[in-house]
Amino acid sequence: MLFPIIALLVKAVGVDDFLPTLSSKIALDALRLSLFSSAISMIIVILVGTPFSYFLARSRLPAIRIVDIFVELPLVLPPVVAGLAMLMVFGRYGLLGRWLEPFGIVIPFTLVSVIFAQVFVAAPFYIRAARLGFQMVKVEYEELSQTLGVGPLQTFWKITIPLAWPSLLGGIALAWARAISEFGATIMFAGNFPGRTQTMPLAILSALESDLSVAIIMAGMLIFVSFLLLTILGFLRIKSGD
Amino acid sequence: MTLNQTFLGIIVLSLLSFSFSCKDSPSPTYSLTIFAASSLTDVFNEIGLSFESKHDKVRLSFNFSGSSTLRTQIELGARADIFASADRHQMGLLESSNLLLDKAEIFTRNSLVVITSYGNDKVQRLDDLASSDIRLVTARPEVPAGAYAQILFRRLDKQLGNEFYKRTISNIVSEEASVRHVLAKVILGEADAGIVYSSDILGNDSFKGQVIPMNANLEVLALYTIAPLRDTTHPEYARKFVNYLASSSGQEIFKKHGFRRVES
Repeated sequence: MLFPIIALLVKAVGVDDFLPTLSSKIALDALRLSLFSSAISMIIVILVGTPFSYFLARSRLPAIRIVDIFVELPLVLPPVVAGLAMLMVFGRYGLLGRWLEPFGIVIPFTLVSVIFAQVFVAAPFYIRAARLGFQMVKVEYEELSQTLGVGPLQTFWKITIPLAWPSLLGGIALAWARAISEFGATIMFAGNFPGRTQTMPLAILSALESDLSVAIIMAGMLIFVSFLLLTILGFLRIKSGD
Repeated sequence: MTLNQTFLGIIVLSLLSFSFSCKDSPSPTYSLTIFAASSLTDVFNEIGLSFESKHDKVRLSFNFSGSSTLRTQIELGARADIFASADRHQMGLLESSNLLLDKAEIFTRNSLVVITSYGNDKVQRLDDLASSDIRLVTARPEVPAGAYAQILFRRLDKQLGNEFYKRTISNIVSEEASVRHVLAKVILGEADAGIVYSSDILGNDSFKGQVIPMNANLEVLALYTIAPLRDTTHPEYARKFVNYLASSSGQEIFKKHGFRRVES
């Protein structure tokens, strides 16, 4: 598994135009777009996903199993199908899109659609991990905290979140990695336009057809950035585990 | 039976059925893999059937995509016998890397059209492509259909002026990987207008939009090139297929699908 990655990195550093390509407009635009969109996606995933996965973890309703299936569906869905499904919702003739269009709200082919696609495919990774994390926090701890007069919201902040922290970070790492590597749903739903919706994976595919070495360098860049993100999150996790 | 055993059973069964199905079919002696521009999808499928019916030992399989994608795949070592490109440029790149068996030849022509989505009244004339608030989709500039679209925009720019090119380019919301992806976005109604080939919409029942009329002096013609590849395992059949395209029955099928005869 390591070999292809090493081969790519060696090749990338070996290319003559390494630095000029690295700082070329198309590569920087794509990198900026990838980092920005995935950061916004992760904020949405965390803000919505955390209370939702807590609810899943604590709920005893039998119907929760059905909810589970829908939460995990994006994990098995081919991303292109996810993109097409989102067009059916937010597209011009989509279920919601046709009501939004008269108000001048257009989602496909915009940065918003890039973020929607990423949230759709990445959220299950976070929700799964967060749910397991919350399930490991014993209800007794929360009850004890509340009998001592601490409010439910504060208990959640001071007791539940810190105890589930390593799982939450693990979930963030996986979901972020998935968001940054998102390709199929994006190209379907957000299209491919440099500087607007062309994230790193899309730019790499486009570059492949004009200049292979540019594609290799950008791929190396993406590996480096992903590696950096995972390292930072892993470091935080170890620290919180102590 | 545990779950694992069930899975194992399913795998064994599917392997068995696969091997049986292999035995059942009469062994095809020669199989040719043809990498062809996505605009050739329908016409090549029909020509393929017609060719196979004349050569019952040959089985054809197609890989349709943007010509630039296919060219890249071949350069990176994809095994193919024939390459059919929607332009001369992508073919030329393979020629300069010495990957062609014979010199490429032009086998058909196609014209570029501007199409609009169903019920769209925002784009009715070519000038409308430059008006604000239009969602335009083309193929990527590396893809032949995208390169031809650029030529069309330049021509219109010369004729109409008023920064037509600049304003039109800023209306492009997506650069697609192949001309058929452009068509799909227009049929879905996600794009107001798109640039495709006239053959793409001929006989396509799901396309219900308009074709914007264009003066003959603006017409951009796509020249399709084909060549057997250096690494083909069946050069004689690869050449037969290439020759078949030029034959009268081959050209008849092209005509039926909206392509144009090559001027001799």
